[in-house]
Amino acid sequence: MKPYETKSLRTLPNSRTIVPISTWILILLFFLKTVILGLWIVPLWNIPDETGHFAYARQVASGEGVLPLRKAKIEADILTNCFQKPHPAESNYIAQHPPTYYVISGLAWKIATYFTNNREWLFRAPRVTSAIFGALTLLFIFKICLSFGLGVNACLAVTAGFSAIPMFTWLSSGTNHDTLVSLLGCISAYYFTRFAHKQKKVHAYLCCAFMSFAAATKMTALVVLPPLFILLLLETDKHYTNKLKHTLLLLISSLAVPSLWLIRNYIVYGNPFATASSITIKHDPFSKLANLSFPVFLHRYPVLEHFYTNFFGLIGWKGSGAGKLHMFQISPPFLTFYEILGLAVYGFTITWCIKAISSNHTRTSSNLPAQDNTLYLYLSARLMTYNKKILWPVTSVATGCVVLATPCLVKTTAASWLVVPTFISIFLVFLLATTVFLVPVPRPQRFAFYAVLIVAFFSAVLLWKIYRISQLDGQMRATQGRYFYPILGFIIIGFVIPALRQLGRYAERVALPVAITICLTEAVFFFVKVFPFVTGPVGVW
Amino acid sequence: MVKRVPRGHRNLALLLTVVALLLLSCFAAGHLERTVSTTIIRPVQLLGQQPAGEITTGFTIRQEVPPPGENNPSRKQFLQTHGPVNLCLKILMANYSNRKNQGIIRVSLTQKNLEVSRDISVDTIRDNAFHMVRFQLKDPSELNLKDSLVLKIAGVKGEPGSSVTVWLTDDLNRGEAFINGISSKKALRFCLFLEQKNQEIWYPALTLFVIYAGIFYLLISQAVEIWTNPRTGKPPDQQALHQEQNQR
Repeated sequence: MKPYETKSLRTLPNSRTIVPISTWILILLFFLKTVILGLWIVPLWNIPDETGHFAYARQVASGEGVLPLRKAKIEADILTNCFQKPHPAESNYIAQHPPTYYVISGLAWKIATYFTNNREWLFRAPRVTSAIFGALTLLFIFKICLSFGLGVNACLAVTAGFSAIPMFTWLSSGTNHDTLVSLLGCISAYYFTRFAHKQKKVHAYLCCAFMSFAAATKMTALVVLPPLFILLLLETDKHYTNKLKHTLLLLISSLAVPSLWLIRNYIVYGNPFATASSITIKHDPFSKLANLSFPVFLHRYPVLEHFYTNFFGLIGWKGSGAGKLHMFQISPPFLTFYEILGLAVYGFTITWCIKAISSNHTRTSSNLPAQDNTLYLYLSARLMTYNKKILWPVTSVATGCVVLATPCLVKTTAASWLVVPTFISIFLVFLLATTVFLVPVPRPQRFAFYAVLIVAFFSAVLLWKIYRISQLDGQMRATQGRYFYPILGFIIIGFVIPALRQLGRYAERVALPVAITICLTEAVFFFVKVFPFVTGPVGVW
Repeated sequence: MVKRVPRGHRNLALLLTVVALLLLSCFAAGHLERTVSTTIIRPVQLLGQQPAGEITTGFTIRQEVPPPGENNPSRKQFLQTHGPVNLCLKILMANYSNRKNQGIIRVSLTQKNLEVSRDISVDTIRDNAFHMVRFQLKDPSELNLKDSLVLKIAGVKGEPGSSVTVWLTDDLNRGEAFINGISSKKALRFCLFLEQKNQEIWYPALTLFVIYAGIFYLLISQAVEIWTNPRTGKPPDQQALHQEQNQR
């Protein structure tokens, strides 16, 4: 067996794409868990922006249509219930989002109106849709892992691990569009893996189409489409005669759905990318962030740390505080566990990347598999003539820069020092992934690198946007871990699967006990931290 | 075809699941029931402190406390709840330098429609510390925050030389204490608050516990299967191919 084949990501027999009963049971248990949390435990308006999400859903289901910002309102009955005292209607900033999720969750509210008049139950009814989307996300996480050649039990472990991220569970038990975004992102990533293995063009179109649906749910996913489009285009067979048709079809499948929303925004606001912030927040030239450069902003504010922490747990919103923000971040020892886990995963991913690059470093385009005739190979063959001597020295210098620069960019407040090596590892994976254009990596191995590049591009754009919004508003804003949900599937392809592949024959043996520990950690976190937070009369503390 | 799981593996998986659940129970114990409280009378300052004298049989100390008021919304919310609410009194007492005392005192709180009392064994009272007395209000609406309350401490059984006492202060912002009916120009140092144990999520939380049990069993049984089966050590790709060949 050739060295690159030992831990490569190979196609598996079709029979193994069947989802086993144990996975269905896990998905069902997750669904039950989130439904119980959503209907009985998590107080109303305790999921970020839930008042706005519910108001939007009810407005769509009531036949009022999609109202523009400023006209869309969060009605008085919702705010009165949230504030626990009479409160007038307010402008609904959530109306900045496309209506995809709200059509579905509004339907859940409409169905509930036929069964009950109880306000509390009607407010909670759309939460069931989030639970369904959360559960289906898990199904596609499993399918992604399975199609990338992990053993069934390793796939089950990854699925169980993601099902036990407290933030994912929390969001799946409240009215919000993030679980639908994660589902559509994961379906897109699933077709990305299918395309990696089968090279069928229809899978590339479906990959872009589902990501465009995600963008039509939350515009953040739009950022994923340019790198996805370019990378899928690079994978076109260079002998394929109708390249223009393929490019056009990819473009149409990427932009057809979200462009409707962009056109609507242009007509309504005169800006296709209009958001509540861009309309309502006016630039303050005297804000304390106005003159900060991007690196200094990252250095002074715990942006990266908050993203990492909030990805795992940011519990609460306005429900428990009777209208006032009342929330808490996951903290040590729970956070420390996720830091150690992340560090281990990224460590194995780096090892896998280095092995993948070094095992293919001596290759030329002529000794790649015969069926690999893509534009990628054509390009990398041109680029690799220059890289033979400089690849490792340049990579080493860049690694040194990353190791030295990252501690300056990661400010730690709640998290431990472990978050610094964690981000060093993440940036190193980003760095190593760029070498995919210098070393001819066989497919589907290189799709893991592509996935990392997509994550890197998305993260960079997101950080830049956060910087700009924070500058406008004069304070650090919007460091929500859930913003990464459109690329959840790509995070799995680029980080988790390579780490498990690196473990080789021990993958299943290690992954399952780790998954059990993750589940136990989440259970303890909910019983020790979350339940005391949500119990008790509203507004007392 | 459903794969038959060996009994030994099943038992081991069950045992490990129970261990995981016990671990979870240890962490979760006491966290489901949260006691929430709201203060209705804050303690006055301790100025020119002086003991009221030994609370022996027949000794009484009485203080009328001004109305707490309804200006705090959480107080109203407490009294509007349907569950049992505890009216709690914390009063500064002393046992004469950890002397061994014997006897019983009666602490009572009265209002127009409310009368609650509690007998306390004096050997439970610590020296120079606040002693907590809980009165359960079966109907929280009995307590009217707009009316004044009367706090009374009486000796039920107690001999001189083996009784406890309460501290008095010069701060008369919360009323004046009368010892055996005579004005003392001093006041008791105490605070009053309402507390409630919330049990609303007990049943959903127990259901979640069962769901977590299911998840643990599912994952642990798979882990046991892998760790006890040497074949599963092969790389997953080869396993799949091996299984396919067997099926053919």
